[in-house]
Amino acid sequence: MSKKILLMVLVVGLALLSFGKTKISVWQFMMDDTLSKQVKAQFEAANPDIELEIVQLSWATGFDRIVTSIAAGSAPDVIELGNTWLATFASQGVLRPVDDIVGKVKDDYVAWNFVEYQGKTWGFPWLLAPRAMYYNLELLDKAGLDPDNPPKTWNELLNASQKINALGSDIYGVGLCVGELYSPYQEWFLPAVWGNMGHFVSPDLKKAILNSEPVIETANYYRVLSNYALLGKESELAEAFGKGKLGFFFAGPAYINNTQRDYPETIFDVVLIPKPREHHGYHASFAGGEVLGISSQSKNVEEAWRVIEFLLSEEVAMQITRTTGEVFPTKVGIEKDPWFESHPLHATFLEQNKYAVPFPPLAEANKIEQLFTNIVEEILLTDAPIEEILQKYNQQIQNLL
Amino acid sequence: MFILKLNSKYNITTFVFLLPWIITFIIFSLYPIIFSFGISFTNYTGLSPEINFVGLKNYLSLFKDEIFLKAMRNTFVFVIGTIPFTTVISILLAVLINSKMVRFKGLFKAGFFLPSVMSMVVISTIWRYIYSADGIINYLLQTVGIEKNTGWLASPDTALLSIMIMNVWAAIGYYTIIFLAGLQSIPEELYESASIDGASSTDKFFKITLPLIKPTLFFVIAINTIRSFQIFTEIFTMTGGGPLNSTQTIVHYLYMTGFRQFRMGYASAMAYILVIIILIITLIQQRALRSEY
Repeated sequence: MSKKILLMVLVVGLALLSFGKTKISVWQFMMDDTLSKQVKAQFEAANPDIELEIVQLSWATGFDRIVTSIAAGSAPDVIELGNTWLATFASQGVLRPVDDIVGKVKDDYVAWNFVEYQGKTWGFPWLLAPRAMYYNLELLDKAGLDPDNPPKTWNELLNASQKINALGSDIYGVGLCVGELYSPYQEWFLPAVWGNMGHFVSPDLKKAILNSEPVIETANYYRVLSNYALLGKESELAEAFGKGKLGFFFAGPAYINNTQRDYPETIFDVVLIPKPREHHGYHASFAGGEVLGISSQSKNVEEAWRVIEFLLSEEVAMQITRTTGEVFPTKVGIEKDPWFESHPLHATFLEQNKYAVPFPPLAEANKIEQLFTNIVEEILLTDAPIEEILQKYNQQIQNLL
Repeated sequence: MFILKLNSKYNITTFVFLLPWIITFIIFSLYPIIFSFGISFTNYTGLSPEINFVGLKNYLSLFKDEIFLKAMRNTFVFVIGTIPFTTVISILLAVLINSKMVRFKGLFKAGFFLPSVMSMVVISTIWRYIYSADGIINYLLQTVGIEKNTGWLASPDTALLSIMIMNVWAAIGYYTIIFLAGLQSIPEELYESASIDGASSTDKFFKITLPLIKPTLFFVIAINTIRSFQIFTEIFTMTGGGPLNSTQTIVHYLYMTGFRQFRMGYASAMAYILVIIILIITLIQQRALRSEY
């Protein structure tokens, strides 16, 4: 009899405990099912009052799912967003400003410029993915170049690309992205503008300056470089690079593991993106990254923050790095993690991150991104005069600012 | 009269069985249709709860939108450029498979039909590699001395054409099977009589086969027209509308405008323009069908 009573008390107690739990849903792209389960178990063990639901989104449809859920009024509490999306989402009022929370962790993490829009903070920088330059040591050697001294300036890159391109009809100096939405401008063109001390919008974000001298010079250089380039989608360029047909290409860390696994015979390295001239400009890169925002529809802000704090932690973020090899934690001092010692190519991306610049926080960022893809494609795929191209798009960007 | 009918046992049973479909139709079809028509007159973003009535502004703006006009042109090029090829190749394949000289008919039917049961995303991904800068087509061209340093989908001159070719390849199997069904309904005696009269194979095709499969032909053209105007998956998977909007189509632009630029009202107006276009063309086709039969 007493056993029965004990059992009933236990069942009722468990039921009450589970009813008392707050459910927090996280929609994210970076953790696969296995990792999500591990993270969920770790978090719930340390936070028995919260039930964590982690949903993995795909890059193909995730954006639409987020938009649809917000429109339907059923947004998750915590949403992972690409840093270029943040200003647009913030401007639409779908994120909660988190200035009242960030003070607790501001000094522990970097890349706060990812999450600022109109003087407020709208999320937490979570993971970083800057771009750097991959190069094939064997092709440099065959072209009579020193594989230990890859190009550091635009001119050196142009000369090296020219020599590698001359090695054969199916060998190309450099790979430049076209034919898709983001990579054409992100992987190098816009970072090259930044590296050339230019910008497409004035510091107050009110005036389009795409027709300025640094941008014109960059665009002209890009067109000349394209004479020795293979043009295609990023994945196509990565494949050609893996097959040993490409001297250089610009991309995030995602291709390190893939290339090593699928093309073990290709000897390659990763270095900082070349700067315009020895005494001018810098090794600028596109600051790609992921941020975590709290939905303005969330009713459990405190619990959502506890989840975010856990996801931001070095332990969880490094688990993602080790699993994917595509992103790095934003945690200050992460370069001291022993994992980077055994992964020197990945460590180069951390070095490159010091020169990474995020897309300006503009509400119309997603429309401007599309225009940028067109700009790069017009430069690379048409003969239209550079200044005409830049002037035309400068007007279109100005209309959006 | 209606109440009387409803009261009869048969009609109530019918209604009860139809109810799940009616409810599903109202929630998932009728409501979105009415809702999207309503928001096509607003500046609804999809994210912000703020909605303002803008009248016909979205519709009028569309005709000044260069990308929309390009998307419209591309869609028409796609429709006009694929339907004749799909139809003609499907008829020829169906006639060939139906003829006595072809053995292993089941194998051919299954082979041609295979792309129809495959996901368009899978097909598009495979063809993306075929068309890539480093893909098999460029490789074959290189072996005959033609060099091309872009992928076929990365050049504004070839991207749309490449997608059209892939679409024809992917669609012919489905329509071949439909034509086969049409061909098999033609009585064999007609061909035998024609043979006795000394008709050639060409005569038989143009004077017996083609007239008798006209209803199937109109069905195929009508269905293919509607599907072609709604082309999306291929564009989304293969080019994203680029390069330089050379593969931008109405539905893809509609999607980009609504879901990526958060202009749901504007995108809805685009959807209704597409509805009107498809409606007009279908009506024309229906009239042509009626005049024949």
